Amino acid sequence: MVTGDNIRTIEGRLLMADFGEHESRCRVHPLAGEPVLCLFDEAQKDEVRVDILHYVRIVGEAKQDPRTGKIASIKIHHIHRLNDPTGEAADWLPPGTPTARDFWESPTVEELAKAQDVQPATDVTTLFGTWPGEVNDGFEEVIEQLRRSDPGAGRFS
Amino acid sequence: MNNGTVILDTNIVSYLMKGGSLAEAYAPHVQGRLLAIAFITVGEMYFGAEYKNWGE
Repeated sequence: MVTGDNIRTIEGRLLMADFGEHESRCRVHPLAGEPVLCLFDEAQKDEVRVDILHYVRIVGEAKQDPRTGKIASIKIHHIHRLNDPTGEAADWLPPGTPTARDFWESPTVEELAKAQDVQPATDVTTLFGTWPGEVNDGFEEVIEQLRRSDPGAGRFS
Repeated sequence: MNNGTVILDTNIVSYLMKGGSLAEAYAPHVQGRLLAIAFITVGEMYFGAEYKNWGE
């Protein structure tokens, strides 16, 4: 049962959990808007741990900035794991198409290859002569120069 | 048959695609293997294409 004042519900991805000795906190990143700091107690640590990286609904008591009305933090009362809304359209995409959901799943190279239907190179010589530019076009030197250039300079020279 | 996975840096991709002596030198090291490239290599390939005005 949820008790207390200013009970709020938010939905988002649960990230950056900090299991402190005296105070534990995490962040819930909604699809739109700024992340919300969420506080939880010792009894909720395991529940938070299994829901890290997942999309959740948080119900809890919010503290708000009295001037702006912005939620400063929520003391978690309940956590509910939800289906990831960012992956709902994936069924209509070609197999292997990366989605936002994939960003959080850290597949291995082999798993990516399987999803993209990439097979081992049975005859690597089939790659020879497929370069669209000239053989002596200086591509490798350009990339080397790019890697050594100052990204803060704003342009490649 | 998969004799292992190799992640190719950008210059190795261009060597293999260009052919020639460097491609011949690297070919035995990638033959039969699962070949992968990092997303930064994809970006560098696009950069090179833009820089060299490919397609114009």
